[in-house]
Amino acid sequence: MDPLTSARIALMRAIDDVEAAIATVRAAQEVDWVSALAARYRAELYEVIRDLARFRDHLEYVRAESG
Amino acid sequence: MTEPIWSTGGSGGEHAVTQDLEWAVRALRAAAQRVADAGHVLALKRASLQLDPDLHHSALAANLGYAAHVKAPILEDSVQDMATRLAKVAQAYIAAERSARQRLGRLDAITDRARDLASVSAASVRTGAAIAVMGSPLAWAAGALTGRNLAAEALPHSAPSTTALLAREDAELASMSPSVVGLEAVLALTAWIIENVVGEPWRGTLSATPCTGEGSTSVEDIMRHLLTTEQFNDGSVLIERWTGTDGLVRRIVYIPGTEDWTVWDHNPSDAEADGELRFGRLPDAARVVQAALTADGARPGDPVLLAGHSLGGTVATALAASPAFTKVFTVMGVVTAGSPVGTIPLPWRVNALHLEGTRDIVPGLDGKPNPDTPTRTTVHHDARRSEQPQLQGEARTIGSAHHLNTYAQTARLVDEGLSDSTNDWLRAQAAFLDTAKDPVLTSYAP
Repeated sequence: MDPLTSARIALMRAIDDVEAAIATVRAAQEVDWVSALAARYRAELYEVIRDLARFRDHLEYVRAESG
Repeated sequence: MTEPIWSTGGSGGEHAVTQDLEWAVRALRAAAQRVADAGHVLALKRASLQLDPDLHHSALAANLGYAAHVKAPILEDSVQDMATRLAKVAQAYIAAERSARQRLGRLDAITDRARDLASVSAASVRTGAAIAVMGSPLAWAAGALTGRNLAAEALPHSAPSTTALLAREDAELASMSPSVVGLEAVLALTAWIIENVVGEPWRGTLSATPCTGEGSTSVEDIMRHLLTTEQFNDGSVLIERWTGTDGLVRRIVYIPGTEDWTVWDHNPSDAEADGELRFGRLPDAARVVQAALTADGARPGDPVLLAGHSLGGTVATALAASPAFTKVFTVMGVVTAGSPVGTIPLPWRVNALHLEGTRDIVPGLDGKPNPDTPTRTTVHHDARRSEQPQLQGEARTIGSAHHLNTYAQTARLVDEGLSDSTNDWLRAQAAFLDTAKDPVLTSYAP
């Protein structure tokens, strides 16, 4: 396997990992929150999802750039 | 000085908050691990590219290095930090809760002790007094077992203050132990009598009477309507019915407390009902509620809020917990005032608000605190230490602490916004307290 293909596979694995992280946090965000502070926690988790999504987009960009 | 009123349980309760935080922390830690995995994969690839002379200085190698060694670690740290911060919030919350409880600890200890002492004697006096009037030897048995004049001890005016009870300390409690054992025997005998001697379940008909008045738009209003219901003094329940803008027919059912301290007449809100509930049976007072809702035209799917004072609150809670009842009637909420309900588990969909005066012994008759769940909020109010002189007066004795006028004052503080939990309860039940409704009020007498 040539180094570029290998790098792209590594990037895809990393993207999958970040997608899984996003899914985990989103699942927690969408859980049936019971406490009065639910809105606050949801907002905090939304920020995390946004940061993770930015990282995923960056990795997608690198993968696209690698040809 | 702030008003000595606080809430436990509900959506702002310790269990609800820590449960949500645990979800968040677990998810964030899992996410941080995934980011670390991604960084590790990229770092390995970057290392292998560095060994390749053609790709050593490529843009791809630089990008992988940046992602692996800069972005991924920063993001991982950020997510991990948030998990740690939320875990600390949970710990701080629990610590704050414990600290608050410690401050209330002495008060709780006094109250618990008062309840321990008073509950057994008061419950026995209730049943004992009822049966004594019947001329049963059980009354004699109660006196013989305890060697005390139970009726005189438990009547509100002669009951000792909680402070005095605390001063008696353990020696007094120890001396009470044989009496308690004896009283439990009396209660067991009472259970047998209820099971085997007391009459057939009520299957009578109801007499409906239209009533005038406004509907409830606050918890305080609910207390006032309960007071009105108790003034009928014949076991009547009051039903408020209206059709909301969403087309749903809603009802608030007002269930009275004990009105009759005997067991043989036709008032179902009697000592027999207290006894039956104590032993896990639905009493005639509950059958009257069911019959009244049927007579009022309630159908499955019509939202119902059950409200009750004292015995009425226990009946409301027991009905909301009864699968046979909830199969027919859709109970959305429960409000109780001065009711022993700690032993009755409620389904999660029923949002309950329990008002309890710390001076009122009746809510402690079951000897168990109310469950701390996201959908059960208990408000504790030490009205005799209130900032409001009028309220101090109203809660002066154990009897007055149990009165609906006192609970109306507690309810007003809930309406004004007491805690996250009570505010959430108000939001959840807002459709029942709709200010635009034009309800029909009907009393149903057994």
